[in-house]
Amino acid sequence: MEENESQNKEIQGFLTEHAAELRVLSGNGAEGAWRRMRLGMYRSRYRLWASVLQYAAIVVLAFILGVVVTRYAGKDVSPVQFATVSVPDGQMGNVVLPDGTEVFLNSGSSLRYPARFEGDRRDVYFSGEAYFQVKSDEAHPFFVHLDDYVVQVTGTSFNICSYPGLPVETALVEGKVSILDHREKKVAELKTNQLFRYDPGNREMKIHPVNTDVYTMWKDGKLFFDNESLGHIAEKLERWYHVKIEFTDDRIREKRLTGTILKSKPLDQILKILTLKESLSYRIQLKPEECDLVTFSFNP
Amino acid sequence: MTDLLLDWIKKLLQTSSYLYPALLKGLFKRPMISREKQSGVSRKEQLFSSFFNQNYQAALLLAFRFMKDEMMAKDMVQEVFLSLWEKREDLIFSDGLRPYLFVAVKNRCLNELYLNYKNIPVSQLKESTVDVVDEIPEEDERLIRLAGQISKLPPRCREVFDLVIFKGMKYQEAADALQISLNTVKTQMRIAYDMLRNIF
Repeated sequence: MEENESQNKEIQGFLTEHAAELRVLSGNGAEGAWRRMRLGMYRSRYRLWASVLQYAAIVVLAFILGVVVTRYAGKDVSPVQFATVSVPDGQMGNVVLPDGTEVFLNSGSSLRYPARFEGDRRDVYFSGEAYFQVKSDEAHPFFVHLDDYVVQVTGTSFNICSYPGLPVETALVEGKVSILDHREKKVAELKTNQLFRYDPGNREMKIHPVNTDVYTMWKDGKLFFDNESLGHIAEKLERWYHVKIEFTDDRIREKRLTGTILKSKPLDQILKILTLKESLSYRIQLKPEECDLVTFSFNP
Repeated sequence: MTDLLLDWIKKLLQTSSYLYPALLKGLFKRPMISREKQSGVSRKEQLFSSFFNQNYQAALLLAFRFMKDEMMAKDMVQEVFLSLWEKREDLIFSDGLRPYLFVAVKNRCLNELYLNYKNIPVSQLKESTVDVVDEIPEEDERLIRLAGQISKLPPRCREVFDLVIFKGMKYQEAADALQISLNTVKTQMRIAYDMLRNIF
């Protein structure tokens, strides 16, 4: 027994000296480790398969991504903003649209157009008078929406005169336009130097060959009228000079005149010219808060 | 749109052109469906299994002496054995492979230490002078056998043993910790020594 005791002391000493190592060894037998090893071994066997599948998955994903990206590339998800340019009476304006199209606007006109042309067409909404120089783009036809009809072009220069109450006129200077109805069905096709005129009153449509200069001269600051009623001329003057014109007698309204006037001239000079020719007289009443009033009457 | 799609396909082909050789290499180097028997364990695995069981503890001991940390030592040994398994076509799992095993363990440990610490503590470097021999040193064998016996100690005895030897507690401290009498502790320790005696 005593031998054991002293031996025990030795054993204890040895054990304590190598306690760390003994602890690790006794806590990690070969059996448990082997089980873990087996898992690792099998994992490596399928590692190749897994990597093949990984590559395949990446390829498939990349393909899908590619398809998605190309479908939606260039498509802005945000809604398009529209801008409206309005030119008041007595002024002219011009605008360059997102595609480079230039539009010269006459007084009393407004043009509504998007900040960005999307899709395979270009649409604008217009009323008044304007001279369009549309940037040529066969793939994206240009549509001008008027109150009464729609003008479709691919790349041309033309003039549209579409004031409420008046016949709507489209004059083609260069290129080709199609006139469409509200359902965008083709109603007519215009060739150079042709005018399309639609009278909303009697729903009549006409095409004539014209000298387009007549219809575009306003751009250069000239007002031209060819056997036009004074009433019509008066409307144009109203718009340009921002005045109201009245007639004491309706017959005066029906008088026909031909001529050209420079818009830069002051109003009374123009009125003088008009009245001289026709033996009429006029009176201007200045109204500070509103448009000045011009009244035509027969010479006494 | 089709242009963009074609572009994408071109890009995919380009990237896959350098994935492809890697895949081929892997495919031919190792059979995807193992030639090993489906049921039962192959010869190679059996040999590996024996080799593992015979040398695991010695490898672990060596690794522990380098890493000074149980977890790390286990990782190192596991990695080495795994790498041996991956090279199984070129190896024979027998006693003769033992020196190779120990060198591999030592190298991996030193590598790991170097990567993490840049400067290897001198105490750890000391182990590198250990000669790698065919036989496991006798002292280490004794340790391994002792460890084996320790893991076979009856549960109560093991509890006490752990506190006294591994945690370095005095008998009384252990008694208090386990809420048993000092005598019980003494008895359990005596049982332990009896079981370990013949190894010395």
